[in-house]
Amino acid sequence: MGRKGGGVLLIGGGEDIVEALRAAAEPLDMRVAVTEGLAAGLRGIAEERPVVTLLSLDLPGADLDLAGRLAEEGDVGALVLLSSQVGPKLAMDAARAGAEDVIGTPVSAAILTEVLRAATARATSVPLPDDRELPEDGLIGGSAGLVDAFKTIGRVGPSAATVLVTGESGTGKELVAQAIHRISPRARKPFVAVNCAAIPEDLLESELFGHERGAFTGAVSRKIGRFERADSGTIFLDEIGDMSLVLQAKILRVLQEREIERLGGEERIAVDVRVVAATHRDLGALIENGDFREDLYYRLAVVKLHLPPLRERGTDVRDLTLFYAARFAREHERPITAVSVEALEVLARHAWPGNVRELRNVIERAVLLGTGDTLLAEHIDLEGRAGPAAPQPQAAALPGYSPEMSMAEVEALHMEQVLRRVKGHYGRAAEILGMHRNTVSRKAQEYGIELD
Amino acid sequence: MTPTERSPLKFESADATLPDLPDLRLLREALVDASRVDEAQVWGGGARLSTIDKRLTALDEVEQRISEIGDRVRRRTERVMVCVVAALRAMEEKDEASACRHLVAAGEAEESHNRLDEARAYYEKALEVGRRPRDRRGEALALRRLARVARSRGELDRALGLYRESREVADATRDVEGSVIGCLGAGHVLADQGRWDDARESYLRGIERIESEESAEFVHLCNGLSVVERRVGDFAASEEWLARGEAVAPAAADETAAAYLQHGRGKLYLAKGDPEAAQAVFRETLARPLDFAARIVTLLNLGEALRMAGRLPESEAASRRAEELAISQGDLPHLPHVYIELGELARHRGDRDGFVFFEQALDVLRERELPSLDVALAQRSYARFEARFGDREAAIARFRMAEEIYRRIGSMREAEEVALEVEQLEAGPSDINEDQDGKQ
Repeated sequence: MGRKGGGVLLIGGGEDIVEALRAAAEPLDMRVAVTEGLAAGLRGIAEERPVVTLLSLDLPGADLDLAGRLAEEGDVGALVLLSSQVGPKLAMDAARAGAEDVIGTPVSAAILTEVLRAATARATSVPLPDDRELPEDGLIGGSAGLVDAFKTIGRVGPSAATVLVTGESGTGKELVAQAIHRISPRARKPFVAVNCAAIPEDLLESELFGHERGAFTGAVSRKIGRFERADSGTIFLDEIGDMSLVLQAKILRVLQEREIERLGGEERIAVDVRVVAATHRDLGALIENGDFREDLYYRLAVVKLHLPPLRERGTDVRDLTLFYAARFAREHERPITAVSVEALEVLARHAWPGNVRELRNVIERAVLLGTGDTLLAEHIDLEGRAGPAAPQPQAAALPGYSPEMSMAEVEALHMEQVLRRVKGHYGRAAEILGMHRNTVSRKAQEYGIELD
Repeated sequence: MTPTERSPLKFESADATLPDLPDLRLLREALVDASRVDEAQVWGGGARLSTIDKRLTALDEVEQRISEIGDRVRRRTERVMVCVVAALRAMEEKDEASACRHLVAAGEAEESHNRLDEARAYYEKALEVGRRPRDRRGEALALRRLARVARSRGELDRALGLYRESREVADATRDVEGSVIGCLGAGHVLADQGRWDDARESYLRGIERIESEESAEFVHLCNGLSVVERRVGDFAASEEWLARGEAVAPAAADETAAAYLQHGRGKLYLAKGDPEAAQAVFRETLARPLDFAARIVTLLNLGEALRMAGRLPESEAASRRAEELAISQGDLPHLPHVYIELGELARHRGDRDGFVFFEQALDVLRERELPSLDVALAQRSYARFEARFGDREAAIARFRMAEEIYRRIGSMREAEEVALEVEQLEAGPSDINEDQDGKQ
């Protein structure tokens, strides 16, 4: 997909339609190509590769069979039929043939504008799936690297083997750990995650093993550590490559003896825990430098599973984009139903240093900040950093804004700003404001908005 | 690892290596200011929990700043010496009032570098000298400065006594401005203690004395009264005081006072349960030319309003902007509030690992010897966090620590509120369900 031409092709139709079409396409900045006969029209399709093709069924030789063949071939973009004899049967048959719409002629420029707009959006966008029908775990994709990971998960999940998951930051190592837990016999027991890099070193030991009251300053009460909480279940030690050597020794002991001791405690407590560990670091290099224990490595890496970076996962970017757009549209109650082809192309070209997590954040931001029902390329912000939402731009007050204003006054002020920005183009303003063009026109009149 | 290989130190490691000496304060600030986010962790699962401790130090940059730090120390020392010599010259001329003012100036030079013990020493000497002459305005000024230091140290009863004494001295010398400022200061301390009726009385006394309503002091008094009424739940009265302050703020031409009024309006909207309106006010405040401290506070208020509106990603973004600003400006006293707010956000999100924010807040409070009131706030918020995840024993312990602090500094209302929270927690179901660790 991806319409390189970007214009509209008219096959057949009289002068009045041509005139109406030119008037309709102008506000949308669409190029218009007009052909008289079928043969010229078919050549035009190949040459123009239009976004929208208008085919007049009144043209000799043009019928629904032809329309069906053209829609199937795909080069026509969105196919819209024109006919002087539109009725319910024709509308149904046209839809079955693959046409996007049927319009009765004669037709006004205004109606054609709306038809072109809607058809363009459908032709150049991909509808979102129902995310409730997709895996909840977010492990989405069909690339070779990911399929290999799935196979390993399926093989190792039901066992009790310790697993070491490697991969760059943001590739989904925790998702994999959760998936392993879910298909294991421990699925109904706790899954406890610990981020060894995020928790301060002086607190990590007590987080893992717990402490007795008074064991150290700040130990205001007894604390049950994560190993105990994960008893009978799975513990996920994320970023284990960042753990100090002292703690590594204690983890090794737990793996060997299946017992822990709380800080300040004397009792040894048996724990039955399956361990999944993960790191983005090169443990081999750390072992060589003396920063990671080799004996611990071998205990952890009974099974090794590597997640490839997103840039090596090909079409998974598209699948993940659609998944997250659907999820966030539902979560944030946004009326997004599609992602534009152009936006998908922009996303496919990005290097994704932050991998899936970065993609997730970009899509969530786009859903929150986008307007209309389609995520467009202009909604995609690839400059933002960590965090689900880019820092809001410094919100300079709307010139003229005051907290004393009514909502209508604020709307009028905002609408005027937008219309000025788009030089009075109601169609573009409607896209930005997330309302129908006719609504913009009506409200502008009601509010008395006049542009110089 | 070969001797030439280096990995940047995390701030927590650097901080742990340094002794806890006042002389190293500027160096610590430089370590903070020059630090940067660990790029390798930006997209890691722990990025959401990042705090100052996990930032990487940039020792090359700090090294380049050593002479600049040295210059700051030298300039401060020189300034203090100049003031001290000026004071001695004044004593030669038997002008004790001037000597007092010069000693106050020496104290202010120390206070501006957060050297509160040193500042206090100069203010005490200034007071001693200032008590002697017939012109006692210096005495009133020294008393107010001592009160300010005491308040910064969380010594609220002492601060209150000093502000009241300064007001009495000002009244005796017909120093109207000094009297008004004394009433304002006392009102603030009483507000810190949650003694709302007494705070109101002090602010109103200031209003009675003030000569011109078109002054920054009047705007601050109106804001103070608005805060009092908001805290006791009289939103209409709070609104009236805000309106009075807003009416004269332009003529007072004090950006700080005007910004505080806007704060007050935003907080009033929050108190009324209208976070959307509060957000609009805080965003408008951010568009003003604020100093960085006011900007940080406004961002935190905005974060709170967004959190109350359920807009959690945006709330986090606002708090992280406050964090960046506090770090880049070396404004460590505001960092605990940033982390408390991020901890509240983690509680809303059900993120058990959010405890790192409260631990970081308490660390900074401890190391910087910041006011007990802030420690109490941190412990109280941490207690609610612990309670959220079923750690009842820890929650009660932390509530009790907060209560003890509030009682010690005289904030009895806050202490009673905390005691009530403990009661409710203790009376709660004995089988609190622990948060399912499967979800975060």
